[in-house]
Amino acid sequence: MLTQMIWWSGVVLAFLVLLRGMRVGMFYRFPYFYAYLSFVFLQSLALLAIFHRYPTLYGNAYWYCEFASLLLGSLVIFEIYRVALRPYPGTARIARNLLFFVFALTFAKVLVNQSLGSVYWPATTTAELERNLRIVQACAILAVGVVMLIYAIPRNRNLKGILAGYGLFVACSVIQLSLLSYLGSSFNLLWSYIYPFSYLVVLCIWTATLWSPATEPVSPRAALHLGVEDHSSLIARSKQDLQGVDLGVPGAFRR
Amino acid sequence: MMILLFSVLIAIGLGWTLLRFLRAEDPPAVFPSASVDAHPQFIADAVFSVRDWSFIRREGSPELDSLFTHERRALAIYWLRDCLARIRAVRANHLRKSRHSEDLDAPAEIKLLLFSFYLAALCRGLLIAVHFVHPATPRSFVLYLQNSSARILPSTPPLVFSRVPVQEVSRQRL
Repeated sequence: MLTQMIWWSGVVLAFLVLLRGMRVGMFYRFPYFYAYLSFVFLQSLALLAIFHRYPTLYGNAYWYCEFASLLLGSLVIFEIYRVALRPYPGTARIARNLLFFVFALTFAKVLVNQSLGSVYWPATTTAELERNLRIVQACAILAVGVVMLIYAIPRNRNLKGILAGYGLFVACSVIQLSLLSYLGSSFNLLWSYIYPFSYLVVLCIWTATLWSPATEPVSPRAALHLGVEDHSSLIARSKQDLQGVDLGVPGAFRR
Repeated sequence: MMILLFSVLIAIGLGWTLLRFLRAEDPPAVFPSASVDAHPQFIADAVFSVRDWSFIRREGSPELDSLFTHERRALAIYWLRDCLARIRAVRANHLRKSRHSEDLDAPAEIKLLLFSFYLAALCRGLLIAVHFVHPATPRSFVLYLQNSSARILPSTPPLVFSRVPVQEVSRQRL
């Protein structure tokens, strides 16, 4: 009964966010995010129907849908990167480098596992495979989030909501799927409540933050018509400034 | 078990970043001109001077010694906090400008950021040492670095040229 309640609440909230997004024109601002949410909404309805009509098929259908939503979710991360860093090419380059590093590390791990004679990805169950993919997603969100924090990138309420909601969902998934793999069937019952509940919390965040479109933060460069300084001279000047406060420990930044 | 711990660490890191992300205020549209001017030389002299210490020690008064330690601790804390603020200001100003750079050199940028984080960590470490060990810790630390660098690389120029005053005003007994 409780699971059904959580499930239906999730469906209603997702529908509300989609409806609202359509009415206020947010679909065009965040097309990947709304594509992802539409998929999750339709997936919930389809899975509910399968659960009642063909319960034996439910397990397979659930995992197929889960992987499809995982792939679409990766596009949400790309959208956050695209929308937030569009006016900041310098920060976008750093974020691209970090994302490249995360994916290169993942690829290297797959190659090492293969050369050791094991499978491409050491996952024995679908839950483990999803956990591993969610970890990669978490690292990608972490990279984008940290870069945005360090460079103090202005972000509006909508963008904050999308990143906070999806990041929270991925963080919860990583912990829950790890516990599921570690504890096995004893965690199954609890997981069937926790997982939809955490998604319900995420939907609440999205409903609150995406209810109306927020004003785009003004880029300081656009506001002040500032020219772009050559990066090498900027580095040289900042290096000089930092050496002025070197606490008597110069030499650490010799090239 | 290892992967469970790793997952929990990743999730905690992500949660912390999101929390910071939500709490952080949007930066002002206008660049504040951060003050990176050097602090008064006499404060650095006071933090690094050894003559004052020896003068007070010669007096042999525990009350005077404790009063002087208290005063020097306050000065060292002020000096270190000022250094920390200047490092932050330089970093913030640099980041605000470099985020617009079309020709950003990522390795140089990361190197500069790491250097600023290293200096800030050093300041924090010295602040803790000044609080709990002795107000003369910055001086001892810098001298230690100077000696060890001279041992490792004899041709390296001294590390602390301007910090330790070359000629100090000699004090007269009162």
